[in-house]
Amino acid sequence: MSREPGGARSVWKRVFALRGRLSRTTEIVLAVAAFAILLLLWTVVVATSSIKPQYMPSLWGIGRALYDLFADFDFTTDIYISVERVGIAFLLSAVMAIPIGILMGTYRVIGAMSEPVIDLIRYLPVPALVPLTVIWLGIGEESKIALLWMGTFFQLVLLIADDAKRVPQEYVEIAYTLGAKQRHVLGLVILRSILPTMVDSLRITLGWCWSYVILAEIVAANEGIGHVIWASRRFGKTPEVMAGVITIGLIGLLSDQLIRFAHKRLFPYLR
Amino acid sequence: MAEQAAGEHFLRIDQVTKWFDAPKGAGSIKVIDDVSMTIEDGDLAVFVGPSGCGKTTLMRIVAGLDEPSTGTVSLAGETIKGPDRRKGVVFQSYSSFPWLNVYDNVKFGLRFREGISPKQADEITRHYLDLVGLAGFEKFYVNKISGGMRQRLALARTLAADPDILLMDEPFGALDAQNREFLQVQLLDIRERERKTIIFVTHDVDEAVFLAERVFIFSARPATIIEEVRVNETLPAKRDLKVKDSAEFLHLRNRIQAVIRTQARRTEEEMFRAAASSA
Repeated sequence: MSREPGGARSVWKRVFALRGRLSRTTEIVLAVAAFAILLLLWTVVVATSSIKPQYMPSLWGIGRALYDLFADFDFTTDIYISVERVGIAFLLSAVMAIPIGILMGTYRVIGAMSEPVIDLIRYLPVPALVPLTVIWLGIGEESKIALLWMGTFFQLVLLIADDAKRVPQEYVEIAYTLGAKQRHVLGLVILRSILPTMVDSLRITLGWCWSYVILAEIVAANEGIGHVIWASRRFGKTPEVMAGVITIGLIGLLSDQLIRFAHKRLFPYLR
Repeated sequence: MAEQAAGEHFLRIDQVTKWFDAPKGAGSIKVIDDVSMTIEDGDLAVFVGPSGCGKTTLMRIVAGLDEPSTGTVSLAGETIKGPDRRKGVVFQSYSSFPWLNVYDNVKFGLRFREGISPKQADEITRHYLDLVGLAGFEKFYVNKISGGMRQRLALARTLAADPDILLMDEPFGALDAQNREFLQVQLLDIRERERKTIIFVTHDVDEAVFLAERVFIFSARPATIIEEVRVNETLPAKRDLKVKDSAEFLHLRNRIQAVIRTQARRTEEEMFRAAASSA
């Protein structure tokens, strides 16, 4: 390591500097190391303890189960179906929440009418809504989409409304004094200004969507990752349960990283 | 320059009074008290006064961003009803859009002007970038340029929309002293070339006297005009920084400073009394 100005300080002090910086390579190494340690710990615990494989299968067992799921049980279709459910519900939430949120945050009259109602609905726990969606919409796709939608739309719309409210008044006024009309201000200034935080809000709510899809699939479904997990449990196939859980984690990690990457590309002016 | 009926004033502020709602429903506060003035086409008028006196509010009323409680403001014979392209504004902060680069910021307003081809838009944009000395910085985002450059960018952006009047609200207030003087000189130079009517709001007396043809001294809140000083009668029309060392300049500055100091003290005392009576 090269000695930078101020390098006289101990390595320890530099690494644990409050809000200090690390190089990109160091960050990647640390991330990989953390995964490796986790896997190593798992292996050691399984090998040295007397916990039965039904409770804590080996990594090899989980890998094997994952392979079997793909090879013999058409797991690809289950993944596809879960992704599709999340995708449809999330898209529906976003397409509705973005314009409605902007209007709520921009026109006080709309905000004053809708905020208390949405705040109430937002605090209803999603699992408690499962019976309602089943009563209203049965156990088909509609009830699952509705559940995911309810879990994300009301959160997202308030986040977007708050973002829209925080757009500096100066930007709005500059646009008007340059000859913009209300519709221009909404699109070219308010929407454009909140875009980066909006993408962040979408990323976070997408994560919640994945929790709710598993819930919906556990309650009533014949396909999907949640269904696979729940069905495997019934037969005591713990490796398969874990394989399913890990699959969700990996999909979450992947989509999160994709959105982060897009965020960096789309909003270069934030760097 | 906008057309103007004979005998009409270019900008006419007529008996404007402004009340704001006080916080916590404690009635309302009078911010501007029956102010009248006229400004002619091509004037450079500076509003100077203690902070919080209401000079910015009056400028915002001229911009159409605030409404007067009573009274009217008219520009070239037309009553001002709201903000539009004719009244360009430069703010102190958040003065340009951070999501656009320098070039696109200047070009932003041109899409709202009718009958401008893409080629013309490009020419106008480059002309104003050149005028404020930002040529070569087209691709830079706002957060990558200095505070002084940001204010020049805001100026170019506003001028590109071709306003009848340019309203500047303490535009150099956040800059360091050297940068501020540099921009003052540049503003005078740009004005010379563009012949725009300008209202410039500041609490910096030095800046006011250096820039202005006419200085309007505002009282503490509620704002009234204590005095109008015709700087052009004392200082040369064409000015450079050396003017700031002249006896005439110093005399004028000290005189205005003294008036404002008295007003600022009045504000302090009033705030103290208000705090004491509410305690």
